[in-house]
Amino acid sequence: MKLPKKSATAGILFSLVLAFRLLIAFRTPTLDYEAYFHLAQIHSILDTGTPIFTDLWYAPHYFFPGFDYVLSFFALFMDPVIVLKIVPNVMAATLVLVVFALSLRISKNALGATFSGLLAGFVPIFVASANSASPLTMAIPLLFFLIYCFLRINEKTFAYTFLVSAVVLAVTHPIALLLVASLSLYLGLSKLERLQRYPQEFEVTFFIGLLTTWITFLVFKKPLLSQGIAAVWQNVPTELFPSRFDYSNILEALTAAGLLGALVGLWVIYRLVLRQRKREIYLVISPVLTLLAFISLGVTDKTTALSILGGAFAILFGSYVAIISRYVRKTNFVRYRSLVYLAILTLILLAHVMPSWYMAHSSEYPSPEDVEGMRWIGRSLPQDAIIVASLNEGYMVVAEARRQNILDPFFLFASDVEERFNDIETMYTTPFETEVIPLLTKYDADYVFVSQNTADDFEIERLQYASNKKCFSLLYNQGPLIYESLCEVSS
Amino acid sequence: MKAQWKEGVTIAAAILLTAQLIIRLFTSGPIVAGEESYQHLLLSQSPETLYHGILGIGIMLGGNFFAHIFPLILGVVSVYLFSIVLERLGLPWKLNAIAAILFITTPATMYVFSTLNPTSLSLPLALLSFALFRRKPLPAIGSLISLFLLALIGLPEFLFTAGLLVASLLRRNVHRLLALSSLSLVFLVLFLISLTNPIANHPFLNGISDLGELYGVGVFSVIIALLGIAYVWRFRFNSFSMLSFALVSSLIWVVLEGTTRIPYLVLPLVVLGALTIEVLLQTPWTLDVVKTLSLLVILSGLLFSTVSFSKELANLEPTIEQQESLEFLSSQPHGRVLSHESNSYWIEYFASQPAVITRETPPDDLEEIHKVFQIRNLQDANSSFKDLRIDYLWVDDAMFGEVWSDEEDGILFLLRNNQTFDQLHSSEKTQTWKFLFTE
Repeated sequence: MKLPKKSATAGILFSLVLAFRLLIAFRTPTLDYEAYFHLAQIHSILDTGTPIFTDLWYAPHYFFPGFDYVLSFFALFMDPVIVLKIVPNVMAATLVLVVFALSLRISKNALGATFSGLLAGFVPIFVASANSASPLTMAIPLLFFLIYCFLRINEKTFAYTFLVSAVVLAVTHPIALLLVASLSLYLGLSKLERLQRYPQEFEVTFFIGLLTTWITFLVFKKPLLSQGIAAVWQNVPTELFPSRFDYSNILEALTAAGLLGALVGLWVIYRLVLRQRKREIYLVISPVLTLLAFISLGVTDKTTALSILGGAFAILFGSYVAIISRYVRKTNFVRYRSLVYLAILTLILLAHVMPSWYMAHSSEYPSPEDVEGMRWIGRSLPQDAIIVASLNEGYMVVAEARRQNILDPFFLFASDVEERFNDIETMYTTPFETEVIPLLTKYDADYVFVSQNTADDFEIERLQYASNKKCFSLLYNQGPLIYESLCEVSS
Repeated sequence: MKAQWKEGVTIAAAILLTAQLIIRLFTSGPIVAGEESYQHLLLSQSPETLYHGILGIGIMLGGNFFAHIFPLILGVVSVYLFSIVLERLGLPWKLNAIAAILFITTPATMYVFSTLNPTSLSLPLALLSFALFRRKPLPAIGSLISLFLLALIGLPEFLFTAGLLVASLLRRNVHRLLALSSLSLVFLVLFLISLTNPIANHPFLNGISDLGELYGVGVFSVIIALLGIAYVWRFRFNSFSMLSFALVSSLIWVVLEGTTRIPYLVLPLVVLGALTIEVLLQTPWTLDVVKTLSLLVILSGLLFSTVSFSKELANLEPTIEQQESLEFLSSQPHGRVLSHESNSYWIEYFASQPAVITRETPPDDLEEIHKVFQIRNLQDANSSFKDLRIDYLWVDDAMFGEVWSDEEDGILFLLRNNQTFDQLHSSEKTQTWKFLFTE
């Protein structure tokens, strides 16, 4: 009867986390800006069978398409926007189940596993992706599931499940490279520490290492050709977006990963690595150490790194609860152990659930009027129109208006991001049409989209230069403003 | 198969190189591929080395046909000689056969034996001196003659081969000591380089053919070679002392002289790669399916690099269009031609006109002259063209990207002024302009 009880606990945790994430996702009728990239891919896959790698984007966008194919499958039966709100959150909530299972296997303590699952469900930076349909919602649970399968690699079923899941991860997200590096580190550590090893461990690591390298080269060959190894840094202009790779504020980073889990996790690493030689612990610690190396090299962005760290710390938290409960049982405090657990629960609420709620609410999303404005473009403007929109709205131009943008947050293959960024700022803020018309001509753009968010960001009410009716005409004003440029610089 | 493996891989190499040549002829026409080829064609007009002498005579007798067939023949000979050297190392025949096939399918060697460059002659000569290096007098003399001929191509080639031959006479412990101390030296050099160079300019990263290097190796060749090193390391290089010495010394050579020396590094790399494949084939695995899949991924990865490089090689410039445009320029009065430095050998070979900037132009001068491309003021252009004695401007498609971002960028903006520039010739991807001197 024990197993069903544990399964029921895991099921309840899963439902709780899923409900929390869906609550955040459905608090707005639209998606977060980031999600429109995947909406564009779903539209394209449903229409043509392939994602959009080059057409409509201002520069080629090369990425792992596995996540978008999964979403497109569900979009066969549901509205794509609903798919983007539900499916990624279901996938993200499975992290709770995986972490529960991993923690249970390591700590052998059901209560510890329950707390681990709870913590994993409320990693603030990961919850913040509830409405952005990030591929991490699929990749991170898959990463931990692979670690779980690796733990049981001597069982044939898990060995083959590992292989299939590893292939899926390799076509979903670059964190497959992190998995390979982590497992290699684990193999090295386990040899040094003379831990129990299975031959299958090396075999599957060898295979997945080769496969991931190959797939990465296939997908990123062109950026690697044009930018060399700098492509690993995703070509993000750090002077424009310093926060993407900035970990200098340690407290902020720990809060994003889950403060309680992070602090306890670090303590558990210190305690267990020094005192116990457990294969399971080394397997969970390896991704943490690899991530720290990746962070120091600046290879991993903050959201990915802190989400994975949050998950790993949540697993280790289970061992901490196991240690605490063993300790409490030996003391007179045993009668009040419920109070201890209640205290832990309160801390989780304060350090995980509340920051999660706060972070999820700080994400940016367009208004329904903006989306309708983009759809109006799709219905009314020429197919080859190029639209000027703010950086955030770049994906929406392709997803909803189905027109070409001039910039979006995918920088990997762009050579002139900074120039485009500054030009867009000029196009929104300058009062001089003599400055704008050459820029519009430069990008071959005829239309400017001004949403309320953009107006707020650039502290404008409307385009000042557009008062000249000879050169600019207001086409749409049902919320966002859409201007047409009637003049261009003659060559 | 065991008895005739050398002949088998040689025939395979001949087929592969011929197929590459045929693809090139069909894709780009009967025009010699690459920038470097034309540097050596120009040098062969007044030869100073053995290679350029042979090339000069060959071109005189056989013309364009010789230019195509010469590297191909040297490639086939190299594979046969490499097979003999491998056999002499005493390694199993299957491993040797895999190594020989990897050798000819590695991008660096494909490039060497598809274009005109001195390595295509020095590599078979180095292999010949190894193949003949034994205690019997006649082969030993042959080996020394090869070494002598190698010295006529270049001193580094001679020193490298002679060093390896001497090392092969040393006892194994000495090899190991040399290998390990040299390895430390390589890491020290790499460390020092990494302190001064950005990572993107790292010599080894530039040596990956998948990242666009012509003298490169595929990423999977590197991976399986590294696995081979890990395997050999288990035996502390005991059975592979000569191999480790060759690896370390060629690595040092690449670090010191750059990626053009990678074809020499390919020799030990492919043996190590073959070793990985052979070990993978021989070792029993708990999960057989994983072993099969791993082999499949390795083969696909190797094939991917080879096929993708073969495509690149087939499309290597110059094109017939560029040739025709430059041949038109040769009919014009003598004058200095401004273009990108990567076009200089073609300008000098096809147009027989001097290029203002070449690959040999010092970096400071190059930077200064490159500024001319960005001039947008007619008076400035006038004075710069006069100062640098520029008569013609030759533009090809690749310069949009290398020099200018669009058709209105820099000096292109001024070309519409027909009192200063006269368009002599244009085709889809080339433009030839004459500068009209004005007061």
